[in-house]
Amino acid sequence: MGEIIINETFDDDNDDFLFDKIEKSEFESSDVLDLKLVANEFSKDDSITKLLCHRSVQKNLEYELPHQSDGALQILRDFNCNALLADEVGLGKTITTGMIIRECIERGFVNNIIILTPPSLVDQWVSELKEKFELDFTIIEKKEDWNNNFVVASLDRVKIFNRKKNEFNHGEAHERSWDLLIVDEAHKLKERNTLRWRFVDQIQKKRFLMLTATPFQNDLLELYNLLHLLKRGHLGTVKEFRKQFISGGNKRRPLNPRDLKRKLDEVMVRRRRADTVVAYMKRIPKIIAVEPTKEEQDIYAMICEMLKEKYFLANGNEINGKLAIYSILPKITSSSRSAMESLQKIISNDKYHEKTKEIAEEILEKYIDLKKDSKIEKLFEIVAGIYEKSRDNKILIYTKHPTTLRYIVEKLKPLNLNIVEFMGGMDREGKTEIIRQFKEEADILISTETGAEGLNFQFCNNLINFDLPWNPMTVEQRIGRLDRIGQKRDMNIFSLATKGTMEEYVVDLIINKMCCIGLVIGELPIILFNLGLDGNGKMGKNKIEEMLMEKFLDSRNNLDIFSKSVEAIAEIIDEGIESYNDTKEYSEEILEEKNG
Amino acid sequence: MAEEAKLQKFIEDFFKKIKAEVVLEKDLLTISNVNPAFEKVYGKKSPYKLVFTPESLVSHSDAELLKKGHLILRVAAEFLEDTAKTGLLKIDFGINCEDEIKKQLILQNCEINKIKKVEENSYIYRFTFKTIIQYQNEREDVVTEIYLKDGHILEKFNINAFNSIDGNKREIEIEGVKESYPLAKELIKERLKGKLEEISNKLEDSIDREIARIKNHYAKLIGEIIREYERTEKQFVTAKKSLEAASSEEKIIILEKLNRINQTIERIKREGKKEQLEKEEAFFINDEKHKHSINLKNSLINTTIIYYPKYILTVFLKSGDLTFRQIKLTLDPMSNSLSKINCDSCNAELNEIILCGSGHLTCRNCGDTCTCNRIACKSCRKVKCKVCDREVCTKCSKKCYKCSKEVCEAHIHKDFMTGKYACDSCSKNCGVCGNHTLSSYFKNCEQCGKRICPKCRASGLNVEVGKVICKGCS
Repeated sequence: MGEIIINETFDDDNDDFLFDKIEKSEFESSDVLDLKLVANEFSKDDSITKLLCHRSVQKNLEYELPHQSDGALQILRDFNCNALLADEVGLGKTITTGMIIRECIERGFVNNIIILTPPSLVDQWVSELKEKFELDFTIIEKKEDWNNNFVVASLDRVKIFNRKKNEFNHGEAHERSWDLLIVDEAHKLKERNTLRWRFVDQIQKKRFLMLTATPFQNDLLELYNLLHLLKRGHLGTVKEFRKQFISGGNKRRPLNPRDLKRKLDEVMVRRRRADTVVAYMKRIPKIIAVEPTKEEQDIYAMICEMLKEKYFLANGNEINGKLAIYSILPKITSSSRSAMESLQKIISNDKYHEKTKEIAEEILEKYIDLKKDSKIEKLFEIVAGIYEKSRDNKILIYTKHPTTLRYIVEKLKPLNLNIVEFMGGMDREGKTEIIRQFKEEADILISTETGAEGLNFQFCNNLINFDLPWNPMTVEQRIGRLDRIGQKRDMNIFSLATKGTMEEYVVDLIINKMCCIGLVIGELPIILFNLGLDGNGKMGKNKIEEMLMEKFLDSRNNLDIFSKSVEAIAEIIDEGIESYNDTKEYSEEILEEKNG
Repeated sequence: MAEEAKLQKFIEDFFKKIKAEVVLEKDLLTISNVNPAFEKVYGKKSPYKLVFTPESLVSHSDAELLKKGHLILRVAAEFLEDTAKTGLLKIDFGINCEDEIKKQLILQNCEINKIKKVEENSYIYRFTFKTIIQYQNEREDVVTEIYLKDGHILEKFNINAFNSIDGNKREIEIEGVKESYPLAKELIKERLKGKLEEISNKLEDSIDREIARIKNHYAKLIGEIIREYERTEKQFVTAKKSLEAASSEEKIIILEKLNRINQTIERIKREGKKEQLEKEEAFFINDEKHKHSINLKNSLINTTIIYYPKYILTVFLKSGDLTFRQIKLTLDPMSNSLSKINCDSCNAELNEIILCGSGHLTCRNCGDTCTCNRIACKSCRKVKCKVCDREVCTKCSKKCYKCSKEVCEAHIHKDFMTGKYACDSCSKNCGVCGNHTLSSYFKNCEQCGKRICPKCRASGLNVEVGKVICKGCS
């Protein structure tokens, strides 16, 4: 029925070199060739019984989790890399997939790979593949990028369809046959009549790996659509599927669960946390209210006033409110030191209006006269309290600004603790040395986001958010430095919030309603992704961050109004979490019984 | 050799080659002082303790069991990757030319007196290819050797069947290697045919199954569309029929219905779902074919010039009667062949050497034993005796100096008077001394009547003048 296609290539890159050697009468001993041929014979274990890449990958992974390599092996051996990897969240689907990719390359199965992910995960994929698997992938940004053999693309970006030309803007993806196609967060392909579904469907591929923890959410047809993409006809036609599996009004519970599970078993790999050796520790949120002094309250009010009413350029034009919020407010609320620095900059910068400069000067003077810095004193208390409990404790303190970082270091000096600082711009060796110091000698690591990006401190279980980013993903990243496989204790997440400021509500939303609600690491991004809140907004910032800033602006410093807006956002998040949990429940019912 | 033993030998040879210290104690192989470059790639410092059977592991629990695919073997392969691109081998046949001649040619009436040997190289080019055959999640590495000589493939040649040594580059001329390469590249496809057929057979079941799944799926989908179309058409016909018997009020409703049905029919036609599905089906069948495709990647990993000497021999033959003959022979030890020799007379190929009395090579048909008991070939056996009509060799025939006729030795005599030969017709023998001389010299003794030669005729004072009398009678 199907004739076998044979693609023959001749790798003649070395031929000239070889014949040159002969021309020059450079001959090698025949016993070396004999050795080489025997080595060639013995070095290859063609049967897929173990991962050849295991050793080289292992050195870059902090923990050896058997379910990851077992999963990779299973997908390679039993599924020919055509499968749905539906492990529960937090089991490291990316690592398992990285192992599959690396193994496929090492065994010579693939020469080109395309990974399609949500936009927010593109960079993460590229850096994980680089750091853990020593693989260089190119991010698809422009058409020429398709000339690369190993690419990562944002599905949202490449699926854009040009209706005039009646073609996808990135139709290049469809012009070649890919050796391996990977789609992350594949549950986004639940609808067949979407551009993203069509884009993926039109990709020619030899191997197809779909990653999702929740293959279906509300409707069994979503599962059908996903598997229809993976393997045509595997679940029959839609009519047949409806007839066989969907009962009258219930779209979630299949008629013949056993039959459906059997069909799923043929294309799916799913492991539960309970089946693995992965232990999960609790995040204990500790919101520390900072009671500002009368003077501090006044300063805060003046700043808000300045930003709201008197923030002008030299030509008299009002500075865009959002711009002011994004550039000035975070620095001013970070610490008194960074606030003073920002004010100083306004005063000495000619682009600002004289009136604005005057107010800035006034506020600066008030800062200089301040007798007490309540926030830093609170930090001092927290740190001292932690060390009172045990001298062996370690603390990771996060701040957004280098000025604040230096200020904290200076203020904590009296505690006589070993403090290491961590800011951006360090190379790999530098970072490794800091981790070593923090692990072996230091008590406290104070870091900015960019400093500790991608680093793991699972040996520490105290995190202090001296100031809190309004982007929940950034906070999740901060906590993620501690909340990793290997963390053996519950984690204390301290977050400072100055009473009577918008900080109170933002910290409550991000910490209490998003990052510390018992979700497993990796679940919050999925929830935000499902809500469409994982990407960036119009200003290029995270959507939630932009929403909060906008609400703050709209509230015109009325905290009651602001708190209601934050509540509304919290409700959206709540719904997302509820829907996610529901989905998890249904998925478990259908997908996991097969293991039982 | 069992795989374990082969593996162990390889490990020993390899580490010795990279100048490591290899110690074998019973079944434990300890390798120390390993090249740091190897250690770095392997990621482990020496010494390495290795065993080759699971049983050995019991008594050496700190050792590693070495099996196919072990990292140490992969690193070794990597280490050797850029080596042995070229090679020069000389086949040492170790033959004795005289023995070889004697094996192939029977020396009937002669022996080899001396051989003068000149060597001339013959070349075989060996192209070693590695082919990675990859299909689905399987990979096989196949090594193929192609031997070419004088632009032709040597089908069943195996260098291991010969005793070969590393050659000397000063002994060879490098010509024609590169020119032979395209032919070798062509032949590699041919050589892999069997393997590819084997794999194709393996894949056919799976591809047939998958294509059947796709075809079945799309047949059902297309069937569903066709059925929908037919159902709609039927509805149209039924509605149209009911139009005739309908009241004017009903007609309005029916016409609306007909319009709706018609729109559905038009939509089905317009959407071209069937064509779309057929296109999709072709796409996925093609995808499945690619999933089951076989990828071959050939690369030349070694080119070796193999050479061996061909001998150009000058053989000096000597027969029993001291006849000498010099012949030229070419001995190709590869084909174990001597160049042909032919009968000097009839040009027939010879497998034995018979030297005629004149030193000619002769076959049994052309050679004959002469009256003189020597072998005479056709060209030497030219003379027919005018007396007895027998053919004799030139050595056995003489020309009568009197009548110039050639006669065989039996019919010629030496004239004792002149020392020349005269035939029976021209000469007679003396009745007294028995010597031969020309007939004209003889007289008969007047007393005893004997025929006497001039030497036996008496002469002197006591013989009467003019009287013919023999010395006996005088």
